[in-house]
Amino acid sequence: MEELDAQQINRRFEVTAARRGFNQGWYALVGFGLVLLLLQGWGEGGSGRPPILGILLSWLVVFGLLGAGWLRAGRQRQARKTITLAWERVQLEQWAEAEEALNTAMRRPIQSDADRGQAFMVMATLAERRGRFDQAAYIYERLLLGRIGDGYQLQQTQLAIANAKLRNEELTDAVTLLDHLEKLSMPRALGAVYALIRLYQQVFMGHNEDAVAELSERRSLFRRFLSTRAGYGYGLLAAALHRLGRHDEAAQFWLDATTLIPAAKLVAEYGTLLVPCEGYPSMEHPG
Amino acid sequence: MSGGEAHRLIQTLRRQFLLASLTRSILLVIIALSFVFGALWRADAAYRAELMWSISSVAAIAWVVLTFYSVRQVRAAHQASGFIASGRLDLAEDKLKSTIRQFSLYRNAKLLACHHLAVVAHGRKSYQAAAELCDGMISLPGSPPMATLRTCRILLADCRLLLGDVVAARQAIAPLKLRGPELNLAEQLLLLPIELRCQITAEQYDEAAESLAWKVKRAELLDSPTAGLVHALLAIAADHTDQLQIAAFLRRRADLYHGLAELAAEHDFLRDLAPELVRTADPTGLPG
Repeated sequence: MEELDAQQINRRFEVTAARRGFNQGWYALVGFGLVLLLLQGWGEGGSGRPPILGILLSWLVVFGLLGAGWLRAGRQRQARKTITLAWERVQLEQWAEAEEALNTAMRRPIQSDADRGQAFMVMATLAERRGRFDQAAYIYERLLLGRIGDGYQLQQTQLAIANAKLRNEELTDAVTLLDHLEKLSMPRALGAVYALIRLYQQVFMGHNEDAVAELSERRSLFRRFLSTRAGYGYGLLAAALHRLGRHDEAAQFWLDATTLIPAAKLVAEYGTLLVPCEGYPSMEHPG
Repeated sequence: MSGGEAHRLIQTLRRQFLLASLTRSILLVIIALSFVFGALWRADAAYRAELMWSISSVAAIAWVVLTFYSVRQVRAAHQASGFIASGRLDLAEDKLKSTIRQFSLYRNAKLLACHHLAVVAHGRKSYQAAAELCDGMISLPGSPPMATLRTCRILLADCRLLLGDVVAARQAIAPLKLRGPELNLAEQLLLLPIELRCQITAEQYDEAAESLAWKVKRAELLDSPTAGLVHALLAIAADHTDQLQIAAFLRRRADLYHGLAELAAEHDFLRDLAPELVRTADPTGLPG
């Protein structure tokens, strides 16, 4: 996995930036070609008919530009396909393939903001996978400052920054950001992601009473919106309950967590889950 | 939207495609003939030569303008998908219907709009209308792009299942291979629960239990209710193929994802297929 510093990340932002003037320039050139064609068509050469060379050139300009536009659209379709492939590989935890696809997609400008945002989200996820939460936070910040991506992606990015800062132990910044996010209205699915990040912050900072204050609400939220990732929430709740001496509940939550996600993976993601992992029986995943 | 209205829209689409083909052919013939005759005409027929050049130019410009008009329709279809994402299905439906009724020189804008309209109809639980639209698109002369065709087939199968026609659902997805290289992950995730349901209903438990780990890995990426359903279906398949330990594990997971009682309440067929699944369900729907 390739290590990237801030300068290399900046370079990727520059390379993938869309050329905003291209569309307007292209439309203007097509218009100019059409006007030229009309003038040539109605003009008159010395032999009593329009000059054939001029007309041929005008046609060439118009169709050349239309062809260029078509090729460009094709390149963008290909870029979208490659970025989608990279995202799919991330979902399936095929990290090397994800990185390969991402590197291919990031070699040239990406016209769509949503696609470009998605590409950098993949890049940040790969950085998180390496444990480089500082790099991930930097990527998220650049996405947010450049307002790259659609509205939903930008809200996701804010949550991702909070998570990355927390994981990078920039606790003051992380808590300030989480407090700010708490006041914003967001879709319930993102609300569940927020709740998971907040829960980790509370468990990590030892605010165990706060972590289990709304136990059943949190559990329902995770279950409804986080699907398999609810396992991380259950694991963190098990850790908080364990510290509070509520061992029966902790054991049940840990069993649920490990039914969804293997214990080793839970501990690899959150080191703080080592204690419940060692203290309670985990679900064995058959086959 | 009713099934009848969807049927009429498909008829409109067929007429529009025919008209578009005719228009393209006529414009092409005019451009080619005018260009050739304009170039070959003798010097003593300057007026006619000029007329030919003019006709050729106007036809070409008409083509370009109609192309831009078609691009606007693609944008309208994309805008409608924004409405769909934000839950404004009523706005999306109006926008898509008007896009389908407008003239376009190319097929793709209309196919995209029709596909989005089928998604809207499905979202509004007008399954008959969504099925009509998908069926109509699949049977259009000159097949739609492969990706559109695949999602149409999956959507059609889902509608047929929801309308209780399992045989038609199986027919719709018959050409698709779940593990085939042509399906991307999003399509696999759409197809998985539908194919499993078809197989389990037809008592093809061996096929359903094939590549179990691969299927579970994909099921983990689904939203909670669908992940719960897929795990429950896989549990039934595992039960019938004597993988009892795995079946118990999958049932437990299904319960964690969505609650077996909730699943049974939402999917009547589960009660018929696996009454034991419902009996073992925690009445609160919550595990533990």
